[in-house]
Amino acid sequence: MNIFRRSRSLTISIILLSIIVFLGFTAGVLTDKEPLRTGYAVGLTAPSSQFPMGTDQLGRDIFSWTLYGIRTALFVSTISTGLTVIISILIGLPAGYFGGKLDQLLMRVTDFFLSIPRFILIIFAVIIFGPTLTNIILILSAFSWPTIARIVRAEVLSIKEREYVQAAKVLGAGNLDIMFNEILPNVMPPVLVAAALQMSDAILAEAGLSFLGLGDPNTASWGRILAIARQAIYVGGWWTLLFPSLFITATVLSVNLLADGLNDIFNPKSVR
Amino acid sequence: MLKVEGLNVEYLLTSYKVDAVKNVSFYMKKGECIALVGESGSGKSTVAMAIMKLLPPYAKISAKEIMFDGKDILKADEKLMSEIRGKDVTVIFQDPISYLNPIISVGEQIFEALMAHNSKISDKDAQVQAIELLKKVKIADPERVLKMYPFQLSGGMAQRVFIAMAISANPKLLIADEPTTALDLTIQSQILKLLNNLRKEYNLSIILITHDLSLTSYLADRIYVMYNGQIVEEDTAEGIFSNPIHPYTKMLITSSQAIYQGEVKRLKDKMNSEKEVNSKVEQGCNFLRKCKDSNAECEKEPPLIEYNGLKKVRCWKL
Amino acid sequence: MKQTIFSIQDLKKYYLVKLGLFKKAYIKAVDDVNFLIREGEAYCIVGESGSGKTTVTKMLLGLELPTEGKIEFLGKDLSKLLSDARSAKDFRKNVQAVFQDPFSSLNPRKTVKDILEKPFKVHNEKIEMETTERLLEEVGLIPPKEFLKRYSHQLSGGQRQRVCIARALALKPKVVILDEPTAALDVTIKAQILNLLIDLKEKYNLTYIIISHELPLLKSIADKISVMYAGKIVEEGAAERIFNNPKHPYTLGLLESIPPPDPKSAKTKTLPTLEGEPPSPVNPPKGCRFHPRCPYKFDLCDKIEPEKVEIYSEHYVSCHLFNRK
Ligand SMILES: Nc1ncnc2c1ncn2[C@@H]1O[C@H](COP(=O)(O)OP(=O)(O)OP(=O)(O)O)[C@@H](O)[C@H]1O
Ligand SMILES: Nc1ncnc2c1ncn2[C@@H]1O[C@H](COP(=O)(O)OP(=O)(O)OP(=O)(O)O)[C@@H](O)[C@H]1O
Ligand SMILES: [Mg+2]
Ligand SMILES: [Mg+2]
Repeated sequence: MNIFRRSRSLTISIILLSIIVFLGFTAGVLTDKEPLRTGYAVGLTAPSSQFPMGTDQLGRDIFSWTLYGIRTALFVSTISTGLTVIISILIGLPAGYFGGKLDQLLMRVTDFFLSIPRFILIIFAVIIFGPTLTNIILILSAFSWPTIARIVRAEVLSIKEREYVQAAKVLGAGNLDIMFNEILPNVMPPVLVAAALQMSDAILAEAGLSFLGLGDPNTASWGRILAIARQAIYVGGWWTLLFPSLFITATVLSVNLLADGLNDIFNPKSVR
Repeated sequence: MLKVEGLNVEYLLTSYKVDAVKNVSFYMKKGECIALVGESGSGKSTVAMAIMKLLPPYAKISAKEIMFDGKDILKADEKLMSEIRGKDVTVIFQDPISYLNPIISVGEQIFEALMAHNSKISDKDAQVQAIELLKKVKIADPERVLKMYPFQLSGGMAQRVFIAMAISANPKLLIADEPTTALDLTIQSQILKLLNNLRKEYNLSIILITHDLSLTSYLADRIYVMYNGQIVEEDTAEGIFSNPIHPYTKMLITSSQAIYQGEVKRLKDKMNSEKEVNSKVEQGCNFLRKCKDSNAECEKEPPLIEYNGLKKVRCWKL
Repeated sequence: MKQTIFSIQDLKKYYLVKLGLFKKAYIKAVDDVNFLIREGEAYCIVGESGSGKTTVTKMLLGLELPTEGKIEFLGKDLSKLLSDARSAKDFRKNVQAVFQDPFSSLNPRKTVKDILEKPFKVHNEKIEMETTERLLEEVGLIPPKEFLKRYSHQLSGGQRQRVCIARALALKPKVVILDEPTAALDVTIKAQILNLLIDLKEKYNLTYIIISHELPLLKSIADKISVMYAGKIVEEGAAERIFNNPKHPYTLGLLESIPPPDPKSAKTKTLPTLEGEPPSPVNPPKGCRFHPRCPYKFDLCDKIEPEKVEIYSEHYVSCHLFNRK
């Protein structure tokens, strides 16, 4: 395909991502062990044929945990990013399009959210509402939209001056029609790029929360393995640190490359 | 200075392809001005973009030779091209507005263009030079316009700002794609004079792309008439006007005279009889469908035939 | 008496632009303009680049609000008309426009087919396959099938302009506002489009408001011409009067700049130009706005603004030379 020839980042990221997604989906086949069950082994066990990535102090299988961790990471990040994008559009689009008082109001709110340290706020919110997967997803989206909303608004501001928007007005198209059919498709490219970046942020945030013990206790998350690694590493359990970090890095990297690649191909002039 | 030999450009679209430029060759010497005139959609802008390697990725260029100032453009990589584009060759694009950034002020965009040429320029000098440039293109209140944004300019002002940016770099070659379409007649003639002066002063070479024959007669040394991707006639400005041979060239001249005299209605009857005379034929001469005195020979494609020295025509009627 | 379509009174548009943190300026884009446009008329506006032509049409289309003055469409106030959804829709259906820049007036993410179907969708009208194809054929984009699938950036400048014209004519409007409709077209196609416009006008009694700097073109289509300079109309009258009997010095200068299509005269003759600096729209010259460039200037000109004088039936000039008092 021509698209891949044009963007090397896109090619690499798609290959990496498909491997990761494949591993996540087939976790149940690749291992017969449950991710969070203790007692598969006695104490910290180094990687072996039985435990490809070793176990932790409580005998939990790191391999299965890491594979199931893919599901958590991708689930949390895609859903929360999707929500983030929807909220950003619903706020940024009217703000940029109508301007005036509405814009000022919406942008004040946005600025307020941008001015406070995001991760600390997320931690507080998770403590208050409780660490379930749904809550984490909602909280991540609730605090992540301002950056993308700003991007949407800025794009809308420049696009609404284009004559094709005025042409649609002259044809008699209504505001909703213009916002969603004429402007939105032209706003999407930079938004999708930002969304890919947001996704890698969300992966890191979820891992960070779990690391701090604020993840959903019933799901396998890379962050929690790392929290265990903090102690295990002193008694030589390097595998608890290495494998999950490797996966986090690979996923975040491939999502970032995806952002890069999207940027490459979204030049409107390159559409056939 | 510039030599283009056998240039072909195809746009490969998903379901079919567009042959935008077919076997186009031309040359120009330093300080010369050549004009590409022709039908709308005949491939003039595509030729310009191909020389600058600015075509979209799905366009396929092939040519025997494209040489600019001793450099082989066909083999040039992106790095060399961006060097050539910023300094040696500048383009006045047909759609200046899309090349102006809507959220950056006019001033900053001109400063950037000046900086690309001379990175050591001080802010003050840039300001002075930018104002000087805007004055050259007859923009009122240049100081104010520097602080405005592209969407706040009128169509003609945006076009002139773009012209100012293009000439700011003191290029060796200026490709001007329909540079005066948004300008009123008095300003149009001032811009043409400005280009002519640059030519005399700095020995600037110009490729003028236009559909307006009357503009070419003032500036151009040689005219290439294009029709449907091909060059159909090539001659000096006088030669084209005093002795047009290709039927399309003739049609251009009669149409512009009819418009000049306000007799479009009478032209219409004439054109109706010309239009699609041979609509059945698919092969052969490109102009065959609209040509009123064609014969059997025309079903083969004519080559560019040399005709008494300078003139070349793609028509069997010679 | 023919029906009045648009009536414009004392129309002004001042744009406020920020020039730094504390500096602001008012751009007097349109300053006190009056005119009437009657049914079936081709009303043409010519004038210097930046003189406010586009701004006038944007106000007629309700895209910009006038700073001062009144616009009436068929005797009704335009802003009131547009605030009511039903009458607004009616107005939109009957008044169409072709914008000045054919490159930015087509959405880059839509195909020509989408673009031409949009007007029908907006007004809930039936679209037939042939409709869009016929529209393209009319503006000379042949074969239409090939063009329907393309995106706007896959068209040449002139092809885009013709798509814009096709879109404006799609709904068979009563009034069409055309801002430089043929600037990107070569003469043969120019003539074709002009013929199309003339035909439609004769057939359906269309009203046109045409902005163009190609004066020769207007000879064939214009009924009335008004000449703008620095935000004001300096001369207005029937087309033949303007071409054969121009009065205002700026109109004279403009007509003299028409390059003849004959190179023997053009090459030898230097291009005629109007000398002098263009007028500032922020601080326009006092008195008559044209006086700094006017070859006939006398003592009154830089002091008093000339009034509009009717020197012949419906031929108005704003110039002290023609003020008999
Ligand atoms: N990106 C593209 N994809 C596909 N076809 C294209 C593309 N760009 C141009 N074309 C087609 O190639 C042909 C030549 O286009 P080009 O823009 O070079 O014409 P032009 O001579 O500059 O015309 P104009 O005077 O109207 O600007 C046209 O038929 C056009 O439709
Ligand atoms: N949105 C805007 N904000 C500020 N100033 C504007 C805006 N639109 C236009 N202007 C200014 O108003 C003046 C008139 O512009 P207008 O577009 O009406 O000119 P025009 O007569 O159409 O010129 P042209 O022939 O060059 O298109 C110009 O000085 C322009 O800078
Ligand atoms: Mg072109
Ligand atoms: Mg304009």
